[in-house]
Amino acid sequence: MSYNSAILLIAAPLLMAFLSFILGIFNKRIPAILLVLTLSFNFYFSTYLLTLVSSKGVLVSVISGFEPPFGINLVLTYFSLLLLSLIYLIILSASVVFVSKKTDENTVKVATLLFLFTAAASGLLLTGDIFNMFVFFEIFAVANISLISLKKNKTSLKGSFKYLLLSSIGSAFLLFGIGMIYGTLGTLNIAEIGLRFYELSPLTGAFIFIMFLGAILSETETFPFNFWITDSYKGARNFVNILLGSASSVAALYIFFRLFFTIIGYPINNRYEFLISMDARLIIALISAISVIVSEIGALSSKSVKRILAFSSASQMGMILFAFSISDFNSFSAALTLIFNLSLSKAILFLSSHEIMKGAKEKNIESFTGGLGRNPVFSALFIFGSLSMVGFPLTLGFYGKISLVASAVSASGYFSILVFVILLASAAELFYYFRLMHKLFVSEQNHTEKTKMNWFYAASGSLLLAVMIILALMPKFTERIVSSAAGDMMDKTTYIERVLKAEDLK
Amino acid sequence: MIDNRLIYVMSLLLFLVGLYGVLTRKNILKMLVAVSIMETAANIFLIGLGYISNSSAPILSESLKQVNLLGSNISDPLPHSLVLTAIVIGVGTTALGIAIAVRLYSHYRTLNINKMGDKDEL
Repeated sequence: MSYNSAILLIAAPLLMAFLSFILGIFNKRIPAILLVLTLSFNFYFSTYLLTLVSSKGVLVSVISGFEPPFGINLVLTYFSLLLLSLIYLIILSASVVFVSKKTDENTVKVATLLFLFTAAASGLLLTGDIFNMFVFFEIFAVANISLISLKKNKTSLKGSFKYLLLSSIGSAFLLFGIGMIYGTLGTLNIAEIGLRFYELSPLTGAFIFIMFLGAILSETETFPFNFWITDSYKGARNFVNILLGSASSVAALYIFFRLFFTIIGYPINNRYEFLISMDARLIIALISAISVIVSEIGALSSKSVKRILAFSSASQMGMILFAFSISDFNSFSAALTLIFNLSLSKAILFLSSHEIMKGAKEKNIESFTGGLGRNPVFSALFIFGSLSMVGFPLTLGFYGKISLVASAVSASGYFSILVFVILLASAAELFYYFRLMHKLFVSEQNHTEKTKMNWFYAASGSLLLAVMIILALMPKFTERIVSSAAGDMMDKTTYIERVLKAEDLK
Repeated sequence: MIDNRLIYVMSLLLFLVGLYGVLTRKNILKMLVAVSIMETAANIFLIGLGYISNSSAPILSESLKQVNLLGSNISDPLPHSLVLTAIVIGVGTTALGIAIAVRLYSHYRTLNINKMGDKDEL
């Protein structure tokens, strides 16, 4: 298989989404098995492409003979394929959790939605066309909304309605921004837009910046939308939480990077000076710092475990956006390590907390009491996930946070002040994670009978844990991956050259 | 003859009307209508981009056998196809939103989002 078959990463799940409906009539188990098989194939193929890209550089898969900038093309970069492999790993572990449930009339529908989710995530990360990105953005949102509303109870419906409103507002903003770009530059190819963005007048540039900011803030769970998003987590089923907290966040961060770095390119020369001198980076850094603080306060005051984890996820997203706003090599490495840490440990936390709270009437902090006695395996998983989340030494979160601080301090001006605020807020994170861990060790008076072990959950959790341990205990290996990806992120010129094959630009 | 700038300004105003509606309405159906207004505004903006004054429809007729983009006065067909896609997506999400609104009504017996709060929110 060559890199030109990269379209299979999108086409295979889409085909299976249709097939699973037909085959589901005969046996409801078939879609579930197909799901695991397709995701394993996608994961394998994306890692194969990743090795190919690491030796050959950025590759462009031309579709139906239309060479860029015409037509829709897939652009394979080290960064996008790395995140895609991570997303497939998360969806795979979430689908193993989903497969463990008894089959009912919903199984086929949920499998179809998960296929759609996979196809949309692949399309979002691979496409080189901005309108195509909008279309996948919408498919992604529809899959997310439907998955959140699966429980059909009050909280899940309310959560999915809020998510729908947010994503619709976001997509309207994105569409308006895309229209502005097409109207002024006459192209939809991301590389060409990135190349010619400087031709726009500052006012048009600022308009597009605001439109994209409106679109992306809702997707990345940043302030002021983080309060709305947490409702979606609370009402959703367990495997949907894993998808929302990990896979969706990674996809949203990728869109942020493409829109603000590849297209607008804020680190190079984009200062929008109108009434007051404004730096695009400062705006994003400020929003992310506020988002971190507000999310941590929200997490501290929450009683529901899912809501605490959701707020913590929002605050981590704020930290990653802050790292993106510094935008040098070290901060990108920090952001990537934090993305790995967020997606893997958040999935472990959602998975294990569900098992620990099993059987409890109210799913709040109190239901964690005596967790270690009832469910030692998942309590251990939860403790490991929490330690990595707060940045305990020798975990992935530690490497991420320490390099974020180092890069922020070495960056000039306001970043070194804002990183102090972010550190202060992440100290709050320590408090509520240790509060949860403490509850696990408190022994219960009434009953200490062990909960029945769910092997599918254990398999899914240990898969994620194994990846985390490998990444944490082999820092050289992790550093190699992360620095290749960060180098790829920084090198906007090669991206544009390879896509447009513009020899005369060199 | 229509000035394109008028279309741009009007669509931006319509977009802001929709945004205001989403942020201030309490009725969930009205919120969905406001979101639709935002999407329509973006679509009108896109259509406006393709419009060229005194141009004809981009249909390959006898007079346009040889397409000469600089000489012939046809409107840009690409925004039309983009808008078509955007409209289909918009209808899909609106339908999904209304389906959720119906379910919400059957649970709460009200469409007011403020009355859907549960006391143990946090």
